[in-house]
Amino acid sequence: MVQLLVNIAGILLIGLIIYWFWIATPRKVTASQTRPIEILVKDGVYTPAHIQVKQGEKIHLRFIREDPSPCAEKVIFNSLGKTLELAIKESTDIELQLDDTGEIDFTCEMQMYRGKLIVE
Amino acid sequence: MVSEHRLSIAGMSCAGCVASVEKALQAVTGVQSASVNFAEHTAQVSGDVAAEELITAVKAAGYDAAELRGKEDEAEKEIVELLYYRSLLRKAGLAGLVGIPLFVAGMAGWLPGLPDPSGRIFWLLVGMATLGVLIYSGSHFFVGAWKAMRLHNANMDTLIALGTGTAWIYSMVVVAFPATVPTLAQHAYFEAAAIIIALINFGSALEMRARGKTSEAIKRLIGLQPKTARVLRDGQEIDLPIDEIGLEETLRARPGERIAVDGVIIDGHSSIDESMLTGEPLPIAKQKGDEVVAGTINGNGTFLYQSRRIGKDTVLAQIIEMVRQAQATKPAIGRLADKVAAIFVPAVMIIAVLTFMAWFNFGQSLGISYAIVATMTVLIIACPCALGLATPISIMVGVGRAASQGILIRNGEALQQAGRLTTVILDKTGTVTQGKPAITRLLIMQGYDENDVLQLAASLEAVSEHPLAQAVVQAAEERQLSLSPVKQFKATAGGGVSGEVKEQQLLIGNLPYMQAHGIDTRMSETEMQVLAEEAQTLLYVARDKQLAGIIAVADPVKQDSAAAIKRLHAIGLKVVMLTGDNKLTAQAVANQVGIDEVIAEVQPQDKGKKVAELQSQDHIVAMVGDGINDAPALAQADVGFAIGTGTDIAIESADVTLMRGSIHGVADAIAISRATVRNIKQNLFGAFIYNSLGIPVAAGILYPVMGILLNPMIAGAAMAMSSVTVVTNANRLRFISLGK
Repeated sequence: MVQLLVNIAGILLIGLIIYWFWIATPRKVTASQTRPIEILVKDGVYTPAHIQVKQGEKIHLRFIREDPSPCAEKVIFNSLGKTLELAIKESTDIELQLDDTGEIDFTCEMQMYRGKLIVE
Repeated sequence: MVSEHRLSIAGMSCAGCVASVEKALQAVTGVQSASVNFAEHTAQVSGDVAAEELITAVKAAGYDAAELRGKEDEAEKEIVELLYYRSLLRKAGLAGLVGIPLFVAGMAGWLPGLPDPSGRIFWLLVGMATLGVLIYSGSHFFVGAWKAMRLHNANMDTLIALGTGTAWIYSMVVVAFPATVPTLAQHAYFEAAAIIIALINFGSALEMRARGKTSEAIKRLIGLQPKTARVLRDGQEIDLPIDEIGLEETLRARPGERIAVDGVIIDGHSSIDESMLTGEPLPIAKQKGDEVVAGTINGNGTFLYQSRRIGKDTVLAQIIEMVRQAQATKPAIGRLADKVAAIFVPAVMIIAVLTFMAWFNFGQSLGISYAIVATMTVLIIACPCALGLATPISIMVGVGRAASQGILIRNGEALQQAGRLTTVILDKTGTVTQGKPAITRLLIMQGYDENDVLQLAASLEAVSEHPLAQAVVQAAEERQLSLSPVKQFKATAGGGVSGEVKEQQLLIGNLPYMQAHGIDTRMSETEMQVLAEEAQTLLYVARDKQLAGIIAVADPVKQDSAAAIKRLHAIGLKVVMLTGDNKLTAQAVANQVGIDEVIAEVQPQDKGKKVAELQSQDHIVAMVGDGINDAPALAQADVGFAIGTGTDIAIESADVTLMRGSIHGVADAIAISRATVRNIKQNLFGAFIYNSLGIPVAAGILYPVMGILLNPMIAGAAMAMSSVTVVTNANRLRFISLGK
C-alpha cells in the first residue's frame, strides 16, 4: 500500500515538474513604448522575467542589480549579440527594437538568471 | 526612474546658444529639467531619459555633446565584491563550524544513538542548530530557489535547496517520529546538510577569486585612464578630476604623464608610448596637429593639446566597451551547452525522483534510507554552472589576452572562426608594405633638368589625391622647390593626370596612359623592367608630348612582414596577396616577404569577389586590410582583419582590429583563437563528463556492481570544485605563449 502510494506520488511529482517548468507559461508583462520596464536582478531571478513586446516597437529595459554575486553582473541577449554590464545597486538601461517575431532569451553568463522577450 | 546627466557641450559661441541647447534638451521626452552653464560649457539634465538621446538632441541642434561621467564605479564595485566575498567565507565558516565536528564525532562513534531518549533531545538540538545554518548560511539558496520556482524557472539554487532541504526534513522526521521510519533507516543527515552548505559557499568564494583574474585585462585597460588632468582655464593651469574636463579645452601633458582625453596637439612636441593600446613597443613622435589618445604615456617632451573626445567617446573607452561586449558573446561551439543548461535543472529533478523511486522499490530493507541519500546526492552533485560557465569564461580570458596584445576581437564567433582559417589574404599597400610610398629613383631624359622635371611634376601632383602623388610632392618639398599653379587639371582613374603648368602641357601616369596619349617610351623599356622588378611603381612624366623623365616610387615593405608571414606558414596557412598594383611590382613585393600567391591588378571593387572565389574553393579565408578601401572584402571574408597604424583606426570596422600595424597580429590572433577554442572544448568536455558520470554514480548505479554509494558530502565538494576548475582552466589562457 505504502509502496503504491510512494510510486504514485513519484510519478505525479515528475508530471508536476514537467508541467511547471516546461509546459506552463509564467505571467507576462507587456512592454509599453513610453515607460521603461524595470527589471529587478535579485535572488537569482529577473523580476519580471517574461516580457511581451510588440514587433517593430522600440522598448526600453532598465535592469536594477541588487545581487552582488558575479553571476548577476552581465545580462546577455545572445541572439542579438548584445551584452549589458550591470553595476551593483545601480540601474542600467538598454533600448531595443525587435523586428522579428519570436522569443529572445536574456540570461546571465551561467544561464541561471533567465528571462525572455516575447515578440508578437 | 529619474536620473541626472552631465554633458559637455561644444560649439556654443554666444549666450544665445545656451537657450537653443536648453530648448533642444527640454524637448526630449522624459526630461524634467535642463540647464546649460555657458562658462563651463556643460549641461545638467534630470529626467527619465538616456544620455544618448540627449546627445542626439544636442547634435541635431547643431552643437556637439558628450557625457561627463560620474565617479568611476570600479573602486566601488571592488569594495562590494570584497564584502560579498567575505560574507561567503563567513557563511562557509559557520556552516563548517556546525557540520565538521558533527561529522568527526559521528565517524568516531561519540554521538548518542537515536532511539535513546537523551539522544533524541541531543538530535533535536542538532536539528535546530542545522536549521540555523540553513537560515544564516543557506537562506540565499532557498530564497533564490523559491523565487525562481514561482517564475517557472529552476536554477542551481533550486538543486542546493532541494538537496539540503530534503536532508534536513528527513532527518527531523527520523528524530521527531522515529516510529514512521524503519529501524535500519533511522539515520540523521544534519552534518551532510551543513557541510554541503559550507562547501558550496566556499566554492563560490574561490570561484569569485579566480573570476577576478579573468577580467584582469579589462581592469588593466580601465586603469589606463588617469584620474586627473592639468587644464588651462582663464590663463591658469589647474588640476581637475577627469570627469570635469569638457570638449575643446586646452590641457597640458607633462613628461611621463598619461594623456587624459583624446585630443590634438596645439603646441609643442614629444614622443608617445602607445604600447598599452596597440602593443607597438616603439614610442611614436608627435607634433603640432597630431592626434593623441587617452591612456597613452607622454615621453620626455611637454605639450598642449585640445580635447576632442571625452568620456565614453575616447578610443580607450571604445576599446574597453568593445572588449566588454566581445567577452560576453558566445560562439556556436557553446550552443549545445546552452541548450543543455536551459533544461538541465528540471531534468536533474526528474532524475532525482526516479532515483528515489528505484531505491524505494528495489532497495529492500535499506530502501528508504538509501533512497534519501542517493536523491540528495544526485541533487547536489549536478552542476549546471560548470556547463554554463565553460564557454563564456574562456572567451572572456581569450578576448582579454588578445586585447593586451593590441588585438581587438569583435565577438566570440570571430574568435572561433579565426582558429579555423586556412588562407590569409593580405592587401599589399599598408598591410604588407608601409603604405607610405617614397621616391627611390629619378630617371631624367637627356636635355632635361632634374629639379625642373620634379618641380613640374610635383606642381601637377599636388592637386591629385593619389598616394603616389604625395610621394612626388614630398620629394619636391624636401628639395625646397616651390610649386606652380595648375590649369586644366584632369585625372584619369587607373591611368594618370594631365594639366598645364607654367604654360607647358604636362602628363604624368603609367605606361598604358602614356601609350594612350601617343608618348614614345621605347627608350627606357629595359630600364623600366629592372625598376619594376625591384617592386617599384613607375610614373612617366611627359612635357609637351615628349617623355621628360621617369619617377620610380616604391612603398617599402614593413620590417616584420617576412617574419610574420613565416609564422603564418608555420601554422599551416596559405598566404595570398591581393593588390591593385601591376603584376611585376606585386610579385617583387611577394618575393621579398615569401608570399605564396599573388593576385594583382584587381580593382578595389573586385576584391570582395576574389575573396568569394577562394571561399568557393573550400578555403576559410581571412582578409587583412586597412578597413577603409577594403571594407567589402573584409566583410566578405570569414574573418576580416582591419590593420591600423597606431591608434588612428576605426575600431569596430572589422571582425578583428589590429591596433599595431603588423601582420604578426594576425598570427597572434590565430594562436590565441586556437588556444581559446581548445580551452573551451576542454571545459565543455570536463563539464559534460562530470555531470554525465557524476549523476549516475550519485544515483547509485555502481551499487549493484561494486557496492559504491556516493556520500552526499563528497558530492558537495565535487560540485563546489567543478566550477572552480573550469575558471582555473580558463585562467591558463592568460599565459599561453604566442610562439613569436
